Amino acid sequence: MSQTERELAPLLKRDYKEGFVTEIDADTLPPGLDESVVRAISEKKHEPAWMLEWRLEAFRRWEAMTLPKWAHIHYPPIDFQAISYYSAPKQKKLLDSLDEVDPKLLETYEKLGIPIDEQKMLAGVKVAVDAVFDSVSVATTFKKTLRDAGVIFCPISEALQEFPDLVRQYLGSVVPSGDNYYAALNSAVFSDGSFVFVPKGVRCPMELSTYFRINEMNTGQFERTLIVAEDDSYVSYLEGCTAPMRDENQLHAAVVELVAMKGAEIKYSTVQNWYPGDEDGRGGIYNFVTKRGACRGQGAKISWTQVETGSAITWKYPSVILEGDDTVGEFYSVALTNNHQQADTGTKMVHVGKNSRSTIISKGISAGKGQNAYRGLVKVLKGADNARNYSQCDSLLMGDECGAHTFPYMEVKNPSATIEHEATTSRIGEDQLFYCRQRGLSEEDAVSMIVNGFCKEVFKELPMEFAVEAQKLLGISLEGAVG
Amino acid sequence: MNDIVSRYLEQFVAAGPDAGAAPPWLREQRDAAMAQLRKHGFPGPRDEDWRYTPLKPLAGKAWETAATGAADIGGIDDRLIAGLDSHRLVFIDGVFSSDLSTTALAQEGISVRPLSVVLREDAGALPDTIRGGIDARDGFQALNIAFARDGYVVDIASDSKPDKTLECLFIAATAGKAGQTRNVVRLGEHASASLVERHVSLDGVDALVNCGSRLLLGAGSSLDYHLVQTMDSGVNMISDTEADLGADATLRILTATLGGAVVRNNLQVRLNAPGGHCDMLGLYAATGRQHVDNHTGVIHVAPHCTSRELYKGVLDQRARGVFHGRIRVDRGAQKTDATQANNNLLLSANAEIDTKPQLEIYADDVKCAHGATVGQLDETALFYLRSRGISADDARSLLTFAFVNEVLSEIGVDALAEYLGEGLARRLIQHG
Repeated sequence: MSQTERELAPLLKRDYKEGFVTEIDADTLPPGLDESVVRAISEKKHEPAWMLEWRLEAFRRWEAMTLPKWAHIHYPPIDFQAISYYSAPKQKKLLDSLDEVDPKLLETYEKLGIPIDEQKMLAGVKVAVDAVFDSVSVATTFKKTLRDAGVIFCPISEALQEFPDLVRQYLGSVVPSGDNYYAALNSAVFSDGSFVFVPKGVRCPMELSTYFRINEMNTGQFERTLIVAEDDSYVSYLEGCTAPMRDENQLHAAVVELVAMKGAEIKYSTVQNWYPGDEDGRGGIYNFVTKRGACRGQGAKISWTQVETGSAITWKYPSVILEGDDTVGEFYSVALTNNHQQADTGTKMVHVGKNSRSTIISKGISAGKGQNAYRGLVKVLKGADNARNYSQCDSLLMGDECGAHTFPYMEVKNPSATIEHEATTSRIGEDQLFYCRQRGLSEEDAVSMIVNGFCKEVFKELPMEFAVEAQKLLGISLEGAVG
Repeated sequence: MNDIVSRYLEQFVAAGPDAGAAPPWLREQRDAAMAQLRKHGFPGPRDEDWRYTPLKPLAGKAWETAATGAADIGGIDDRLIAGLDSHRLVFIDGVFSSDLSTTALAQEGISVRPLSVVLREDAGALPDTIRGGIDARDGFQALNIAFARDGYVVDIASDSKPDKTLECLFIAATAGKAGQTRNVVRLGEHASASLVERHVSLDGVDALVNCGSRLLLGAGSSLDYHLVQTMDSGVNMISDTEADLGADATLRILTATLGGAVVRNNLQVRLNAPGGHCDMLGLYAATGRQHVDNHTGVIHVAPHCTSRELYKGVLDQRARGVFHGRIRVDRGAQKTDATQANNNLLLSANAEIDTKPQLEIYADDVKCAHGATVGQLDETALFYLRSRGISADDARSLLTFAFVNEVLSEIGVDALAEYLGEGLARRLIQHG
């Protein structure tokens, strides 16, 4: 162990402060998955008949599929029959206002620092929150303000009741139900998630946010998010996630679909802090997520920003299909793996329209025995004249047992496209640390400063409150006691 | 495709596993390779390593391996590189032709022989790595091991250096035939050599070239290796080159692909001991419906090694290029310095490039970088040249040539660099 490694070792210890369990009565389906489970979920949600059909179709496809093996991750086989596919906190009746939400639930979110109490929120930051607890949405704030602006923001289960045609028009239009193994599974059993619809010309008056929490044991969380931005509208959406500390692995397989029409812009930010497992790699969430956006009209823009610090395994590739001319796709990512965490994450940018542009900035940090892989695809189709892509993937290694990998794919069928990819790998140099210490910074502060500097390009893309949280999270992840 | 494998099996049985005076270990290898081919078959489009490469031209037909006795093709004077003074072995359809080769080398410590001769006279001299068990990476490699009856064996003793460039010229001459060859180059401690392996063909031939080479570099040795292919547009080719470097060894390897139909070049370099250095240069210029796939990998097993990779390609008409490059740094290979670059020029709306530069790093004190670009000729540079009275075609050719010259200028054998430059110029002017 070199001097730097000795110095870094204690800093890499971390505590997972969101690891508590909420004691709450839950309505949970017994573990196992067959057609009856899909039917039961659909029935619990009072879904229209076409929705049930859609789910069953997805389920049949899923049954015919095999588990994908290409990712640079290793895990024991998942027993899909040992997972419960539906869990909801028990509620006596329908809620009219937040006052009727189980105080235990409110307490949980308070502990997590998530403002679902509108009163408090008014005093501070103005963010509309949809909180998803295990499988269902428990509270959505600021509904009225948003409705006045014409924005629909509600749990997707509610949207299926209130705006079934709207949901039907877009659901599965970006991520078809048979897209991949986990997307098919999600399509069959998803229980809730958020639905956002921003009508033509509307700039959403506040940031929208969903907070996901897994609580029950042996459950999987399968939420589905659908965001539609009509012509010339704008919406910024934030997503956060945590789970209790448990010794067994839990599955989270979400699907997120974004649709941006002509001139619309969707900004989607994630701070993912699922339970990563303990120091020896026991427990933690398997985060197998499909996220994809379609820039359908001319000049549409979709921007993904993600800070991935949690989960035992992360497997996600937020993608953008640049269908319209002059469309823009962006992907900014910080992925941190510590202890035994594994991440295989990146993006896909598919250039279809003329003058479409995409930017990929990916920062991977590996510490402990963590394995961090960037996997990305830039595809330029024949008609995408003057397509432009710039990709940059940087890896920071902390410790000699971790790994950093880069697997970019570039497929170019148009000669006027300009595609650039760069990747570098480095570590925190002893000279850098020495320089900071010499100027009176403590080791912790120096490491944190260097790491934050490394991630700065991504953090500056996050909404302010999230950027602060992300920086703190990274601090906690790496510093443990010091944080 | 199972049908193809069973036809290969018939050929294999008909030829007899001990064809060409094979020692017992080789018979075992051939049987094992054939068994592996029967079990796993050829790769399919769902294999990650082959997803971009059309397999039908390579594996859709049971090519016949040429029997012993090289076909008569008359002279080869028009196929030689002007100004290249070399010691030369010539193979027709994968079979050694003593008539066309230069006479045996009489330099002490240098041995350059065809594999068929070595197997007959001196099989014990082959290195252990060749004589051991085999584990073919894919069906084509298995096919090669099962069928190869010839190739070249180069042995350079410690502290020796051949006084001429060594040249191995492979000519695909007969339609429907497969030239299957296995080659070995072994350098003793502090030995050095420069070797040019060239593949050419007669006009209008459709054939398969399937060759495998092992390069073994002893401590402190240095090898300049050039794999140059200028075949007709009917010949498909798979080359598989594996190199192992000892301490402080240096390998400079060039893979230049100007011709062929579907071409796949596999290259794997292992840096097994500290101080090793490897330069991997690549050049491909494809037109028509050519498909050029370069699959490269460098594995840093030991610390304090350096590697540098530069592949440049020009794709015109309906040509398709594939580049796969992987740098792997194993745990413990600290102080590695590895770079990799792949630059591509697309000249036509129907050309395509798929590039996958990859890093796989398991050590922390390393410097690794890779980059890839895809682009077209710079409009402002074209305008500049045209404003000086240079025609549009000439300006294009000039700029394209400048693009590939970065690789050409690094070739150590001057006559070869000139030959390639002329070949490229001809292609670029013809199609520019």
